[in-house]
Amino acid sequence: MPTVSSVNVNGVRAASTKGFLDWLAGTEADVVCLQETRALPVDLPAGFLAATAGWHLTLEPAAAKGRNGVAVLSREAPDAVRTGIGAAEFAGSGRYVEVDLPGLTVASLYLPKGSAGTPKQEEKDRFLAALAAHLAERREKALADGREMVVAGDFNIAPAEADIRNWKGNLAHSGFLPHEREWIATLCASGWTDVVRAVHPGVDGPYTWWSYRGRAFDNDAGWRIDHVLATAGLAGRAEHAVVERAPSYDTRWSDHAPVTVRFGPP
Amino acid sequence: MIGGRYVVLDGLGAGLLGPVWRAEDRLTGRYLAVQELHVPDMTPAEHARFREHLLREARRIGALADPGLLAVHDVLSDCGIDHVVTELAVGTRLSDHVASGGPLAAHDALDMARGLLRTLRAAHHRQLVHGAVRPGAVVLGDDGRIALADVGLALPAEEAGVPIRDQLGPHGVVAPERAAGGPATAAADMWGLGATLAFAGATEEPLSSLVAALRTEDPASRPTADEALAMLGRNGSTPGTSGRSWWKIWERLRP
Repeated sequence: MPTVSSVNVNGVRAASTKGFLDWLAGTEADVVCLQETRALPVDLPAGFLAATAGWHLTLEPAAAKGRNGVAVLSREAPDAVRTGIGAAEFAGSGRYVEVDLPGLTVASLYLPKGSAGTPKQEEKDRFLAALAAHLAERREKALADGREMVVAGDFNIAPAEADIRNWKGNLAHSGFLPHEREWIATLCASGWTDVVRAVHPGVDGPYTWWSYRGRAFDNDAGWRIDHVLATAGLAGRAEHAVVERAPSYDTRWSDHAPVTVRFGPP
Repeated sequence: MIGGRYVVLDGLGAGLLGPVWRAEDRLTGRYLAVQELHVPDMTPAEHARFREHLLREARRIGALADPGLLAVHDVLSDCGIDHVVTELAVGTRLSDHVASGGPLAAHDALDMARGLLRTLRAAHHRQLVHGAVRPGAVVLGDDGRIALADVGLALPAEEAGVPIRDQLGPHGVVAPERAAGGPATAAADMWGLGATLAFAGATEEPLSSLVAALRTEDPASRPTADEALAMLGRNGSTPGTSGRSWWKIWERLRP
């Protein structure tokens, strides 16, 4: 314990009308990190509210209506909730929320999707710089308090060639740019562990995102951009890590699939 | 249920911008195709422009009323996702048809070429560009109809930052000027048509000559739909092919 799951739902209202609520009803996760919720509390559909009645919901919507948004669903009530990454530019962007649970801090992250050579990439790069500093500080604080920490979410970065089917064709594309891979490598060299990769070394994938367009899903031409990063002590307890890929194109309720990690007892 | 009106029945696969669902219009009882349009990371202003562009294209398609274009019934947002509702074409995509049944017979390919050319001619005369002509966009209707799907989507999507040319698959359907970053044009549609005909197995005259002509690198020298139709004979009506219908061919291929 605990089991942590993370998924970019691509709009919680739309996902709730497809299969997200069925998935939630069946998950063994103790904590579920959601990204791209794209809803204010008042917009949450009745079905979602009913399905999450047994959960504690921490929602961090974006100030801009209908965009971004992250959330944490936890079986236990959080002791504390913090939002943002300490950069004024990204306040209210609905991209980061963290909750303190007993012995564990969990953050849900939705990192900006860039576009190489455009202002969107510059924004992503500024976010990366601010996030690195923030995560270093939060990790130190958690460890000082005797807590472990997990950062789970849509990083919009494939860390290495094994994490993207068509890596050669994407060398110049955002999400696989050299400095982005370098950023995540530096993060993982500074006390964070990419848990799925640690549990599944030396294999291609498992991918977590497939474009809705064309035959990307059927051909498993995906990207591994949704990650569960954990502090070393917790990462060493990972027993099971899986991407819950939908059985077929039309049973998907998001273009991402949930990433689920079960941690054993200390 | 999408938009309080369209009851989703089952999935039809991947469209140009997202999943396509077969749905029943609760108002009219008609069966329709509802496509989700996923264009990531638009600002509200970009989104408004995208919607406006989609509607503009839908109206142009409506004004054309060409049997070779799937009619657009509705453009709506539901749960924050844009959807376009079109006529449901019961049949098979050329891409699937060739993958399961091999190349078309010469006369069938010729029929199809004429049908597509007449539609593209009508569209291009109205400055309506398809932008994604490929084997996967050609519907061979069970009732014999030949129609182009995904009309009116490519341009708004590209304007909103989705590189449609990257979505078109491996059949060489992207014109060289498009591959170099150029915009979707009528000439690029004609290149896509040439590749589509080649994919369908256009190896006999007069189609083989047309395919070669459509492969002209310089878009300005590529035949227009009018010129291409002229190459195939007057207005596409050739004795001996008029009684042929797609459903007969489709019947033959059924297990």
